[in-house]
Amino acid sequence: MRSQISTIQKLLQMSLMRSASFSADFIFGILSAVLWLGIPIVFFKMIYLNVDTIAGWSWYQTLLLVGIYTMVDGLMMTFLVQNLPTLEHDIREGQLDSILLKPIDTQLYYFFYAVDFTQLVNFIFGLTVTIYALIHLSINWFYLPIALLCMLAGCILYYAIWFLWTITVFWLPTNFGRSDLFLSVIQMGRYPNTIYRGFGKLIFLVILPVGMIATPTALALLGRLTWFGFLGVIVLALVSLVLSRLMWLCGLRRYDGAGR
Amino acid sequence: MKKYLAVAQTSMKSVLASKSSIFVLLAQALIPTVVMAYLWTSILPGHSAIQGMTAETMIKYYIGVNVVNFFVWYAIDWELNDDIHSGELSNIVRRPVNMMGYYFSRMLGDRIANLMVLAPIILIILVMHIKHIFSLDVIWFGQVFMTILLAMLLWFAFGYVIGCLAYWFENLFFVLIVKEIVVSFLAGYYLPLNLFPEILKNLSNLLPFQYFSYFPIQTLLKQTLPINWSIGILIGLMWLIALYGIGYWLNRLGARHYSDVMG
Repeated sequence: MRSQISTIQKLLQMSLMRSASFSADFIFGILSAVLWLGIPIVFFKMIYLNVDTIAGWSWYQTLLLVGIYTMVDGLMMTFLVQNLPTLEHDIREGQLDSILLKPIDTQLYYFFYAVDFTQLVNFIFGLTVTIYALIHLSINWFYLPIALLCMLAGCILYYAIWFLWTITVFWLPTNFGRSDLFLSVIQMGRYPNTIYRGFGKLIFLVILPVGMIATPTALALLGRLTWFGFLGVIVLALVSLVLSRLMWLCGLRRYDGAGR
Repeated sequence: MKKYLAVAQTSMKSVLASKSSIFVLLAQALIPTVVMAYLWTSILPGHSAIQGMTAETMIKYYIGVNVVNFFVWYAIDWELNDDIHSGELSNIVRRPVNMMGYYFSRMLGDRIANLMVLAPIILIILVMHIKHIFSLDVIWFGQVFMTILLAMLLWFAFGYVIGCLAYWFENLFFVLIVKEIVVSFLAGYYLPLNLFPEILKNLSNLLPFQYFSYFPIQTLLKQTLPINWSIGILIGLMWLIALYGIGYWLNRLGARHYSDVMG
């Protein structure tokens, strides 16, 4: 355990040095963070110029949702944006062997190997928008611990969806990166999950739970999250975490390395 | 010509090599469209409309976005960035091919493979609408073909210009992300440009991005008057010449800057 912690510390140090070595990157990182958050805000603003609510959500409530989604996205991107495409490449090209021999759990390694600290700017901007939206809404602070738990569950779901999608390369290899699909799908987490009806609820709230990443946290802060909803998101997060571990172990059994 | 066909064929085979590609490509097209359908039917229930656009026309628009993307959306800039920074470019410049031609052939091969993967679905749709095929408007078909071809060429030229920045930038990751966000938005990927406020509409008129997505979709949905279509094609062609020139010049300049240990 101690050796794992010390390896993680070293990996984080290396990542920090890597992030600091490209100064131009930081400037473009800030610009991309502004746009990453700004464009969905402009998108919703254009819609709210024409309608009062979207599936029961007012402008400030949607702003709160966008802010929370950006926080989760920024935090998880920090750890995953470089690591999971690398994992996919290593599985596909048979280069996982040397990583499997390292004195650290491989799943953990692909969480801390290349941490992109520039992505934290997204988190900070998301937090700013969240606070701005909260100022305009009546919030019951009693629900803050519940909201934080929901946010943690949202982070776990974000990780599990991307990780599970990445390791399907063990069974379904493609010659092109599959992160594009994840990134285009996960953005749907910005939309209120009340838009889904019928079969869509089952797909986007349970099977591919993008609708559970940010909405439960926003609902908790608004005092609208039911106990059933709260338990649902927690159970879903735990199940997806266990599933990602089991699938990883299954995938490793299937893996054929090239001995590189 | 044979050399470029060989490059396109290699690129095509690379996509078709794995059967699971069909699943990934289908999911990439379907999931965002389904979610947008849910979103817009919530925003515009029944026959309510924003600036004349109902939920049904919005869904058609997003299907149009995906159709056009299948011809256009190829990460040429990311590929150029990878090749420059990994040193793979040295292997490419030694080949008896023009660099722009090489990358365009790769894009062409990849796009053809995408269409081949989706061919069974396209065929089913065609059979379902067999009656409409015989009454197909030839002029409209020609217009759609031309706008999509223009979008493809413009996308390539613009991606090439951006990719060439990798000669000077140590890490182009965030530049490419910024480019993708701005282009997607101003191309009308998220929202039709006619819903934009005046200031953004004027801005998008000054830039080539609407010809990547919005203009071909409007042509596809028969929302463009012949005169506006002709003007659009003309402006798009001017952008193409300008971007091609900039790409050519940047590549020449960058190649002088480029260094590799060739090993």
